[in-house]
This record gives sequence, structure tokens and C-alpha cells, in this order.
Amino acid sequence: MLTAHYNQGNNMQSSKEFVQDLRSTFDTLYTVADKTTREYFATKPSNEELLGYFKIRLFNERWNMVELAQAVANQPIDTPIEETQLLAKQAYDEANHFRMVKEVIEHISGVEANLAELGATHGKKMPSQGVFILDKYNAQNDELVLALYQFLAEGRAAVVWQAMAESIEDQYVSSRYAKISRDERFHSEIGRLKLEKLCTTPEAQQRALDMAQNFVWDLYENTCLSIAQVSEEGQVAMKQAYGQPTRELSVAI
Amino acid sequence: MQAAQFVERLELNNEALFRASELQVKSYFDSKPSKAELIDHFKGRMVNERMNMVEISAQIAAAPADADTTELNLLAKQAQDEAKHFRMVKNVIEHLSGEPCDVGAAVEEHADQLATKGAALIKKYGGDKNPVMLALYQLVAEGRAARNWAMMSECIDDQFIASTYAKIAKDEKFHASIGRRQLMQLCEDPVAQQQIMEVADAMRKDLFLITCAKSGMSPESKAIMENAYGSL
Repeated sequence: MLTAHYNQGNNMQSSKEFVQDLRSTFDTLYTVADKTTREYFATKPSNEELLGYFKIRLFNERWNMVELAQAVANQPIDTPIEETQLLAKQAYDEANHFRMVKEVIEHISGVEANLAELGATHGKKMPSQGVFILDKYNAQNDELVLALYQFLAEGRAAVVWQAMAESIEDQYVSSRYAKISRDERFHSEIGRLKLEKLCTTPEAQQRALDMAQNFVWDLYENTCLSIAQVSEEGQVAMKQAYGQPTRELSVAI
Repeated sequence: MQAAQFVERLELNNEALFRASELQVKSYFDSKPSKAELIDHFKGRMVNERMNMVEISAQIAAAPADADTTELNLLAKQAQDEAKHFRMVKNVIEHLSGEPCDVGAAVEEHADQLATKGAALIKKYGGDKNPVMLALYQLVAEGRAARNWAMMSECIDDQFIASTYAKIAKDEKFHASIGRRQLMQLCEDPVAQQQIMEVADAMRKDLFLITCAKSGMSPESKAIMENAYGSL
């Protein structure tokens, strides 16, 4: 669907225009994630349910931190310093988020979180975590995929954290999530800048579109697995915007 | 010995290294090095900042699942600072030379001297595998770096460079405090104290020799070092 949308013209778009258009195609995915998040929290989930949810988020933040730190450690020497600095800033933010989500878990449960125990049950990358995508598409060795992940997945994360911040009454929790949301938006901008550098050829633009088509469904599945099953209305909106999924999903569509 | 007392003693014992290093830095800048020499010197500093960034980031990536979140947070802050210093020193080089700095070429130029950079000591002393050694490195090497950058800032007339280095000095002091915090936790264990006692003086001597690599060793600083830690 995304590919068809962009192949209509013969002239290649500038990378800036391309990335701007690409961003606008994420609207439906983001809206569905936002709505699903708000609907879920409106059901007033129990503390137990909330803890289950936040444990998934906790290790997603940790994995983001690990992957970003690894990316900084492996930067080729000719990488522009500004890019390296932005990645290091993101790794620091992810470490911050990891600590903040741990504090939220402790705030809700009233006991200190045992990271070793939590790691045994939630420490592996799972489809319910956005970071699962990094391994699935070998983003560690593919700068276009990493940039697209930052742009699309971190942008969606910003929407979801903001929806949580606005849906959760507890001020301790909501203020932290508002802060995380702001950071995720910044990380999405890092992805945007990198994509604008990379998507300068028709081949790179086509590849970004193909990958985005996969990511959209991975992130849809992620919403269903980590928050709640998307409503029928949301499912219809997804199919209208993106066509049929590129693969069989483990959730309803 | 209690951890707090042990760490306080470690810090007191660092003082001779810090003072001797300051004297070396002052002596180097008093010799009025040429612009070409300065640029080469700062390229070395830039490569070292990059190495610090890489090594600390690798530590974060490899941290065990139960690693303390505050500790990880502080390390990530340090890695971010090192990335910032890397850029700031590059800016200083460009300010001096008036042309863009080729980072890749600078790293290659200094490739055969990597063992003489402070950051190389992280691996030499097992800081990449042992948190006690990493914390010791942070306390000693980053503490010394803070004093060296501050001395450079005092010795250099150029305001752009002096203010940049004063900022770096402040960050390095913070990094040393990360090491202190970590040591306070780890050194409740007598085994950790023993490990540190076995290598601390050797690490101090290595760091001093790195400082002297460019400038030669002044008799005064040599005497300070040998009085404190034995023959070099």
C-alpha cells in the first residue's frame, strides 16, 4: 500500500519531502495506538494488570538502552560526531527511562523491584516490545533500518506514553510518562534526520517504504500484545490505510 | 576497613598523581608549543575522549540484568559526556587549524599510540569485566583528567579553548564522583579492597607516564611520584 502510494509519480522526491510524506502515512498507526491505549486505561486495570504491562515496558527501555549503547560503541570512525552525540544522548535517555519505569513499578507494588527475577521472566526480547523489531530486521547492522525504527517506533512510543500520561490519574506515574513521551519524540527526530541523509536515491526510498510496510504491522501487533487487542473499528482503519498485513499476524485483524 | 574510610584514603593517595600531572601540563604549556604541536596534542585528547565513549558504552551494553538502574543511568550520562567532549575537542582543533578536522585520519594517526591513552587502561586493568576496576579507573583517571583539563584551561590564553576545557574539567570531576559512588558500594567487601590495593599504584604510575609521553618528565613531578608510589 505504501509502495503504491509513492510510485505514482516518475520524479524522485527530495529526501526531505520523502521523509515528510512517509511520516504522514504513520498517522493511522499512531491514532490506533493512541486510542487503544486510552481505552485500555479507561477500563481502570488492576494493579496486577498494570504491573504486568509495565514490566514489559521496563525491559523494552532496557533493551533500547543496550542497543543504543552498542551502536555508540560500534560507530565507524567516519561517522559524523553530531550523529554519535545524538545516539549517546538517546542511550542516556533510555537508561533514564529504564530507571523511571522501575520506580513506577515500585510505586505501584510498594516493594523494591528485583531486576534479576524480573529479567528471568521479562528479560528476553518479545513481540510485545518494540525493540523486538531491531533483531528481526538486523537493525544493528543496517543504518536505514535503525533510523526507520527510531523515526516510526519511537514516534509511536511518544504517542503511547503521552496517552498514558493523560489517562493515568496517579501524578507520580503520569508526570514520568509525560517526560518519557517528550524524550521519545526527540528520538523520533533523530531518526528523521538520519533518514533524510539516507533516503537520497530511489532505491533507498523504496527500501524505506518496504520496511515501513513491515514495521507498521509489527507495531500494530505490538500494540495488541502489550496494551490490548485493537478494536474492530481500529482494525478496519488499519486495513484501509495499509492494505492487508505483509504476513500472518498472531493477533486479530 | 569501612568502605567510606577506604575510599577516602584512596582519594588522598591520588593527590600526588594529580599534583605531578598538573605540573607536567603546566610545564608543557609554559614551553609555548607551536600550533602544529598543539593540534597534534589535542588530536590525541580527542581520540582518547572517543575511546572513553566507546568503552563506557560497551560497558552499558554488556551490563548484567540485575545491574543497578542508577548506576547504569550514571554510566550512560558519562558516555554522553564523552561523546560531547569528543565533539568539543574536535571544535577546538578546527578553531586552531582553521579547517575541518578529519576524525578518521586523526584516529588512524594515533592508532599506534592507542596503548598510551588513558582509556586503554580500562582494559589493561580488567575494567571491561570487573566493576571494581572500572570504578577505580573512574576515580583515579577521571579525577586526574579533571585536574589536567582544569590546568590546561588555566594555561591557555585563548578564551574559546579555555572555556571549553573548563567545561570538560567539570564533567570529568562528575565522572570521578560516579566512580567514588560505585566504590563506596563495592568496597564493603574486603576482597575488593585487596584487589584495589594490588593495582592502584601501578595504575597511578601508568597514568603519570601517559601524561609525560608528550612533554617529557620534569624532575619535580618525578620526585613527587616516586615519593608517593615508589620508583617509576
